[in-house]
Amino acid sequence: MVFSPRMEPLTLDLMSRIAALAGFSWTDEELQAIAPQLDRSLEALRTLDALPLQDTDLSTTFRAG
Amino acid sequence: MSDLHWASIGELARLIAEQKVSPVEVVEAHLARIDALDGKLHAFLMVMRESAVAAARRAEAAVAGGNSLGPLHGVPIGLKDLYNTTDAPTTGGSTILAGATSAEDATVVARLRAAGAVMLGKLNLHEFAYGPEGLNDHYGTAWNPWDAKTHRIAGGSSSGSGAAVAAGLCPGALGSDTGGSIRVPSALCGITGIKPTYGRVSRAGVLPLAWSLDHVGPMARSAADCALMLQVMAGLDPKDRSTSERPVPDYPAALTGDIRELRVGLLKASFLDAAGLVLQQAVEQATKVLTGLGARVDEAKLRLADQVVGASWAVISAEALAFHEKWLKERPGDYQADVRARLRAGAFVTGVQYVQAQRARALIRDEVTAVLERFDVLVAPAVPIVATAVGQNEVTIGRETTDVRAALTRFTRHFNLSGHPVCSVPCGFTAAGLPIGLQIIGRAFDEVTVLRVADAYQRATDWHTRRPPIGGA
Repeated sequence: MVFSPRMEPLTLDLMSRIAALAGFSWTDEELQAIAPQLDRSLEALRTLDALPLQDTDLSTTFRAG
Repeated sequence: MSDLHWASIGELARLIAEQKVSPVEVVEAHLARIDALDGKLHAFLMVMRESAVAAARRAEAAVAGGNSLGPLHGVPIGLKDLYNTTDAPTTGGSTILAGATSAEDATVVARLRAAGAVMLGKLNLHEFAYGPEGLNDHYGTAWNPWDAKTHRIAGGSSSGSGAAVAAGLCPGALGSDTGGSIRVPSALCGITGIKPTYGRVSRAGVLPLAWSLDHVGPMARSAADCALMLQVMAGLDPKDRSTSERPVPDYPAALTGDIRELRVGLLKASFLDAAGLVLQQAVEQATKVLTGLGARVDEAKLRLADQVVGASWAVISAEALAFHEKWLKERPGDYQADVRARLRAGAFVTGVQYVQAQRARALIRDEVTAVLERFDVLVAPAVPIVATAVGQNEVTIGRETTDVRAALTRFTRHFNLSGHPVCSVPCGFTAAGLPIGLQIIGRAFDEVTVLRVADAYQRATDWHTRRPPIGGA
């Protein structure tokens, strides 16, 4: 399991609690099935830490140009 | 005329207007083609046989009566089964929406009908458009027409659109593209497809996957045919607030074949260099063709390519779950397994992560825009691999073994995040006869230049005229 300094390690217990907060009740088996891909995706998300996002506005209505 | 099923949209419209063929003849030729081949291809989820023949008869009467004809009068078009239609259910390739009816046509369907097009049927897709392979456990996965022996993916999510157009079951189709779903099947099936600029074409009445990334667009066998379809589809729609007020240019008129002095940027790092060797060679050869046509090709670079996977995942996952939350809670067993897993992952994207991904997206968009100040278009492989066998989960590219799904969207999702227009055209084949796609990326709302380059390339090459082994005769 991977984690960043801002996050707890993503254990099945933590996944279960996060899912419950979102209103889902998933078994350990169901959570285990998505954990490897979720790890990879969250790791990819951490590449955004390298960007100067503090100086970037959010476009809530996206415009291509 | 024999072989009506291989005629282009432009040819069919002209032959019908000149009363050399009737719309009924054209529609029946395509229905016969579907009857002959779709048992294997699984491109169609529903053939709208009766309504298509009835519409063709009305079109025939209009021609005979000398009535004013639309630009697509009598031309049959297939619809990815995400587009609402009043005369057929819209399932999204799911059982959850089996039999779901609509009171209104999607805006682009209404515009195509107003232009005289005949809706031939609803096309297969990855369930709810949430996957780039085109897998569908409920109705059967579409078969890529370029391999008669091995069941290969047609690419997704618009798999039925890719397979149907490639095999001559319809001359044009609608796809949708959230991470590559027009360009991936276009590349894998050897056809042409354009993802227009975000805001160029209305998404009203189209089942969403991720609102801020969804684009809809045409798929056909040439850039010229895509231009004809896009002309009818594009423009402001009060029902879709993301659509632009910018006037719609004349796309077919822009296809002059002249690309002299056009500046073309070849994306090497993270794109060409990350593709399989044969695909690299095909794309490099394509740039030589463009050079031969008078374009100036230089290397271009997008430095934020490494951030695309993470940003794209956070945005798609969160938005897709927002749309599917109720069904995922009440009917989880009705989703196919891979789609259910992807939707569940969306529950682990925090609000902060979603916002940061959207902020990163602004930087990614601005970088593409800045690079396109130095170039008129960028080019890159559409996909780093060719069509894999259904059930194959890993693929080797160079020395790297990687997940097929991740590989399929590696080069496409960048431009869903940026919103820029991209056309995929066939640019070669492997020794095994599988098609290779080239992406042509343009400035926001400059579909004219993208299509002009694609059309000029197709005037100089014959890749787009090749016919697949399934139904190729």
